[in-house]
Amino acid sequence: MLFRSVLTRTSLAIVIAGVSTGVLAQESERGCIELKTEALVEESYLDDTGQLATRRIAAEKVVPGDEVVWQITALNVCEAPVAEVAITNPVPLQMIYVGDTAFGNRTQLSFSLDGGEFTTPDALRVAEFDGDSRLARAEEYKHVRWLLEGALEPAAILVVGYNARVL
Amino acid sequence: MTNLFRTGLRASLASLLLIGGIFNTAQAQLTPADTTIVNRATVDYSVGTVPQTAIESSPTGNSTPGFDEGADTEFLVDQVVDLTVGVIDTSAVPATPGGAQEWVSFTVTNTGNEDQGYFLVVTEEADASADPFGGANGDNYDIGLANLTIYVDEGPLGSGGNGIYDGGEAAQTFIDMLIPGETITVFVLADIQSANSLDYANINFEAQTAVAGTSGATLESETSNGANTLLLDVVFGDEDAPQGTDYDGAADGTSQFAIVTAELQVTKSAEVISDPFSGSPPVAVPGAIVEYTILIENLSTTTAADGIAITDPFPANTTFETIVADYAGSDNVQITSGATAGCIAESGTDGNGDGCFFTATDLIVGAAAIGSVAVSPDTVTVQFRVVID
Repeated sequence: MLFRSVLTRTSLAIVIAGVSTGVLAQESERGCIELKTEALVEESYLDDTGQLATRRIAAEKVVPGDEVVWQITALNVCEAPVAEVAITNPVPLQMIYVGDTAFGNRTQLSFSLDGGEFTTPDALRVAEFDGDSRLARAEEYKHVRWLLEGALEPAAILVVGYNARVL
Repeated sequence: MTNLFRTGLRASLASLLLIGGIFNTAQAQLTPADTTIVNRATVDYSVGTVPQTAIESSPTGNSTPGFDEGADTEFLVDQVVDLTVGVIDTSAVPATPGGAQEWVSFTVTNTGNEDQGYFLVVTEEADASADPFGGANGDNYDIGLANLTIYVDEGPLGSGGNGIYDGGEAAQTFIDMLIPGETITVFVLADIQSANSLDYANINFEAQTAVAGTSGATLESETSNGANTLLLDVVFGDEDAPQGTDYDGAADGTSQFAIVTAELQVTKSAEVISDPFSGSPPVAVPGAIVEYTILIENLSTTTAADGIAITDPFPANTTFETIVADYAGSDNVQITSGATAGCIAESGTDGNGDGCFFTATDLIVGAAAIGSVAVSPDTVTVQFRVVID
């Protein structure tokens, strides 16, 4: 993966001093977002009122055919808002994306077949052997991207994710 | 954990195989047990208008920018024990008392994601158990477990086994190992001691999943390592109710023997051929010739009758006609559709060995002359003549 040149919070403060004095307070080796990925499975249980409910727990037992919820949490650990927040996640090998399961409030969803071009499902096409093309099926999506609309305020959390099935 | 709690987002393995079909694989291969699946997300963002170095995720949260500063979130694919037992027979298998051994046949397929062995069990279902093929022929007979033997094909289909009982199979109550996706054929041979015709014996065959390489001696059991996602658990995934029990690592199927014997029907009729007075029609008076016709029919549609011989007492006041000009050659017994077209019955003993002779009281037409009667509507007819004293 090609990364931009490292622009630490200290040097950033020099460039954009005045934009946010809070940035200066951060340690130079830390970025403004703490990013966490969890592998979860959904479990049914009876709640305190005896009603059937669902909760997510760590993926303790996972066998082929099971769906895993990949939940990604982004926390703004700076004292300034961050913008243009884009989270990208490749669908792991041995798994397939489960259609219509991607979630994330205030985000624009896009998918990619190769990690290069991201677009919406209605524009994601696969070339056929005969030269034609067709819309990609959900199980063919290899990468998922969420683009946050607006800023992520300090201490705010963005939770996104999707379900993938173990082959 | 009850079934209620174990379903969650689990798709059936069958649906997974369907997904495999979408990708045009000959057979979808399940992800092997003990495979580690890893994932790492990346976030790009800006502060103000300045793009920042991307940050990778970790299981507990990472905020250090830069390539490989994050860590994979991992889990282990656990071992799913799953299998199917198929019944090859499509209808009851005919078996005859004392006849050659007959067999019912099953398949065992490892549909899990790890090498497995199997312990094999045969039971006889109770009387009145339903016809496994959906008909009206419920179980009403027990062959006896001592008379049932399990034979395992020489190998899995395509790997030494041919799915046919041909004498090269081993008599054993286990399958030592099937790799995921492999199928092997198992035969249950019956040594039928005695039974009435048209009895039905249901044979239930069960495969219990065992640890591979233990000759079926160590059965698999579910294991759990709690919240540790990186230790291998063993999960029973078989869903075979109501034929079997869900999530018990075992599967079964039922076939049926139809115990059948030949069902012979013998009809004897008489016709006066001639009388001393050249009557028309001839009448049964002393000196008249009467021809007897014995019709042997097999009413069974499944089992031929072999080695048929008849002994027919002569009616009182009649004498066997040893010379019958109307029959072929020197034959005095005419046979239609038998082992021969006729024979010569000698007095006292079967001197020429053709199966026929007569005594003072009986005509004997042996197996050498009649032979067998195939399944219905095959028949054999025997004719001979007497003169009224």
